[in-house]
Amino acid sequence: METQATGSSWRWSLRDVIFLALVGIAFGLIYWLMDWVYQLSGALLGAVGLKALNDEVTLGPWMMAAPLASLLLRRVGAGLIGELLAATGEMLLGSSFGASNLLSGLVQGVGSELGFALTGYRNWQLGLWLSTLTGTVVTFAWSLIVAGYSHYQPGLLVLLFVVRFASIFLFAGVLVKAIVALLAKSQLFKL
Amino acid sequence: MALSAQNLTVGYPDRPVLEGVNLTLNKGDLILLMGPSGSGKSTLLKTLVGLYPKYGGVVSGDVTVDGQPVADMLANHRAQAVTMLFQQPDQQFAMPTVNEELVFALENIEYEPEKMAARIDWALKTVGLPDFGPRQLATLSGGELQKIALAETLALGADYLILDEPFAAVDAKSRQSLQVLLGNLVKDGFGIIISDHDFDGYQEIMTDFYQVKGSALVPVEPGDWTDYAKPSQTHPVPGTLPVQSTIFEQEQLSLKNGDQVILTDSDLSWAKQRVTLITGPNGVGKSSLLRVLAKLHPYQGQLKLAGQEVHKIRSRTYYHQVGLVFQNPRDQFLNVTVDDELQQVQRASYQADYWDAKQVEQAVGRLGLADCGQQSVYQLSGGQQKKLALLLMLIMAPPVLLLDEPFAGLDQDSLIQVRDLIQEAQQDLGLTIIMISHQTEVIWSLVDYHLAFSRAGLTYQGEVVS
Amino acid sequence: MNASQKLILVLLLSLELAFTQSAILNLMVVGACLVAMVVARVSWRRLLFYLGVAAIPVLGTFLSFWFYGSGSAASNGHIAWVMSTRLLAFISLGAWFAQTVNPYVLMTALEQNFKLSPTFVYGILGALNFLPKFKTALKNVLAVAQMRGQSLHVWSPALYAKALIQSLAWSENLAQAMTAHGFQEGAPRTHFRQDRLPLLGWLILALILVLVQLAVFRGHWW
Repeated sequence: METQATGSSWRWSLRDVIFLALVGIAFGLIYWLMDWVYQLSGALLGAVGLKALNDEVTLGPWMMAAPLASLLLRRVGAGLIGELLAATGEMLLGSSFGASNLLSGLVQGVGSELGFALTGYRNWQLGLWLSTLTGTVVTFAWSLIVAGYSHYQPGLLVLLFVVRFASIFLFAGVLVKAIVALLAKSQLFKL
Repeated sequence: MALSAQNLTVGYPDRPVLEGVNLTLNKGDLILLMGPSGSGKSTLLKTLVGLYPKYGGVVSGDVTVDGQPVADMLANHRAQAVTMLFQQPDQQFAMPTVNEELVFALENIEYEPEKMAARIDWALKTVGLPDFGPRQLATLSGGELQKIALAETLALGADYLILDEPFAAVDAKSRQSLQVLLGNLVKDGFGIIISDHDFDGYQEIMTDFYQVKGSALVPVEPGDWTDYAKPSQTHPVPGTLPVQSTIFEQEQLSLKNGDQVILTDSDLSWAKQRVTLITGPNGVGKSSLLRVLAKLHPYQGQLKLAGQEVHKIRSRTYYHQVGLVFQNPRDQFLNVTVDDELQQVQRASYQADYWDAKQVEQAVGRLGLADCGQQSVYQLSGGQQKKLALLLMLIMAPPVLLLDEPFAGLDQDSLIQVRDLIQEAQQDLGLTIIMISHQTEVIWSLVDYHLAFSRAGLTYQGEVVS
Repeated sequence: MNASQKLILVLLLSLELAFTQSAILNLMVVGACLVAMVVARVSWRRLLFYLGVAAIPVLGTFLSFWFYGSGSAASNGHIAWVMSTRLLAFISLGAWFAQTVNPYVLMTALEQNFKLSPTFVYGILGALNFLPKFKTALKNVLAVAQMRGQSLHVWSPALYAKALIQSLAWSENLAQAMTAHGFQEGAPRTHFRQDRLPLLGWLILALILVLVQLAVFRGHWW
C-alpha cells in the first residue's frame, strides 16, 4: 500500500485516498447487507446440501468494488486496495465470514487487478472484461486449493465454475460498465 | 502584515463568478461578507486559504499572507498562518474524538508531543468547552462542532481565520456565543473574514462589511449598516383554529436527534389540503420533524396519517401518499440528465392528466430550465438543482408534499416563480403542503397555517413575520 | 501484543488454517478466541450474535461436502467436518480481532511500525467517520425511489452511481478540511502517542505459532 514511490502516477492525493476508502466503506456496507441475503438463500440451498452453489451465485456482487475503483481512479493498485478496504469494512461490521474476509478480499482484489495489469494499465475497457475472467480463475484456484473444492465431484466443479463466471461477469462486468457509463454522463468524473 | 488579495478573479472553467477583487485583512479586523447563494462567496474564501485552485475553481490574481503567496505554501506551513471553518460542521473532521482531532492537527504541523496536551487544554478553554477532550464528535451539536473547529484553528496558531457560513447548522444561542467569541479574538489581534446570510449580531463586532453585487465585491459604508437591520412586517394567516379537516394527528409525540431531545409530548393536528409553514431557529429540529412525517426518523408517542399509525404503514404504501423534497436537492435525483428525470416523473405521476406535456413544458420554462434538457443534473447550479428537485415532486403530486427549505438560495425571480408554481399545483390538485422556510418575505401569501417551532414546542401563530 | 502484531497473527493463522486440514486445530483456535474474548470482557450478547451469524454457513458447508464430496462416505464426512470447523475458526478469529482492536489504534500503529503512508492512514480513518452517513444516505435513496415510483434493486446501476457520487462529494469536503488543518501529503509529522512493537508481543506471537505447528504435527498422528 506504500505508494510514495518515484513516478507521479504512483503518488496518491489525499482526496483520491479518501474517495477510495469511501468506495470501500460503501461496498463494505452493501456487502454487509448482502450478507443477510446470502444467509437466507444459503439456508434454502444449504438445506439440500448446495451451499457451494449459493456461494457461486452470490459471488459477483462481492467483486464489484475492485473494478469500479480501477475504472474510476485509473491507478495501479486501486482495485486491490478498494477490495481489501471493502472486505475489512465488512469484517468490522460483523460478517459471517470473519477473518477469512481479509484473505478473500486479497485474493479477489488480486484477481481483478490482474485483468487490468494484463493490458499494461492502458486499455481500461478491455481490462474490465479481462478482470472478470482473471477474477474467476484466481478465486476458483483459491477455492480448489483452500476451500476444499478439489474434493467435489468433477461434474459439480464444472457447474460451479460456470455459475461463478456468470455471476462475476454480470455484476463485476456488465453492471460495473453500466454504473461507469452513468457516472460518465453525470460529468462529475474525468472518464 | 496582512492577508491580502489583489486583482483576484475566481470562478469556473466556463465563467468567472467574482472579478477584480481587492481585499485586505489586517490583524484586528473582522470583515463580514454577504451576498446571494451561488454568488461566489465560498469560492472566494477557499481561494483566500489556498484550497483553490488546488481543489477546483479557476483563479487569476494574487493572494498573499504576510507577503507569501498562499497557493505556493505547503499545507502544514499555511495552516499556521491562515485556516478555515466550513459550512457543514460534521464534514470537517478526520478523527472520532475531540482530543484525537486536535492531536491530528498538531502532529500535522510537527508540534512537540510533550507540549500538545497543554496546547489543547488552552484551545478548548478559549472556546468555552474545557471538558470536551474525550467527547465523540459524532454526538456533538452543530454549534459545539463549530466551536471545536474554532479551537482547532487556534491550536494551529493561525492569525487569520476564514469562516464560510459557519452558522448554517447552528442554533441561535450558540450563534450568539460564537459571535461573542469571535469579537474577543478580534480584540486579541486575530483577523477574521466571515460570510453569512443573516446580518444579525455583527454590527457591534465587525470592522468592515462587503456585499457581492453582480460579479463585484462592493464595500458598504458604516453609515449604511443600520439599513440592513430591517424592521419586520407581520401578515395575518387565513387558517382558522382549531384545524377542521386534518391529515396528520399527533398525540404525546416525542423526538430525539441523537442524544438531543427536540420535542416532548406534543399534541397537534395538521390541516389537510392546506399550506402549513414551519419556522424556527437553526438547530431546533425542523428537518428532523419533517423526516418524522416522511417516515425517515423514529418517534415515540402517536402519529397518525389519515387515522393510521405512521410506523405501521408499509413504506411502499406510505410513499404513495407522502413525498419529501429534501433540503439538499442532490438527494432528490435518481437519473442523470434533466430530460431523463422529467420523463421518469411524468411516467410515474399520480396526476398524469394534469401534468401533460404542455403543462410540464410550461413549468420548465417558467423555472428557466428549458435549455438544460441534455445537461447532467449534477452540473446545474445550486439554484437550478433546487428548482428541478421541487418540480420533480410537484409533477409526482402525491396527496401530501413535505418541503424542506424549498426557497433557500433562490434569486428574487425564481423565488416568485417557485411560489406561484407551488400555489397553482396546490390549489388545482388539492395537495397538502407542509414546508420549512427561513425565507418568509416573498412567500407569506402562500401560507394558510403557521407553526412556530422552538424549545418550548410547536405552536400555531396568527401571523407570519417577515 | 500491539495492534500491528495482532493483525500479523490473524493473517498468519488464517493462512495456516486455510492450508491445513485439521479439525482439532480449527476447534483449538475457536476455543482460544472465545477464551480471549471472554477475558477481554466482550459482552455475551455480542458473542451470541457471532454464534447466530455463524450457524447457517457452518451447517451449510457441512452438508454440501457431506452430500457432494467426491470420495467415500467416510472421507466426505472427514472433509465436511474439517471445512465447517475451519469456517467457524475464521469467524472466531475475525470476531476476536474486530472486538479487541480499535481501527484508529491499528492504523496509527501501522503508520509508525511499518511506515504505512500517512495519506492512507488518515485518509482511511477520515473516511470511516462517514459510515453512519452512508446508512442515512441509503435510507434516503430507497425512500426517494419509492416516492418517485421508480424501483431500485441490487442490480440497478443508479443505486451504485448515487453512492459513488456521494462519495465523491464527501471526499472533496473532507480532503479540503484536512488540508486546511495542515495535512500535507508526504510531509513529516510528529507523533503524540509512540506505538512501538513490544518484545513481549513478538514472544507471545511466536509461542502461539509454535503451539499451532505442534498441533498440526500431532494432528497427523491422530
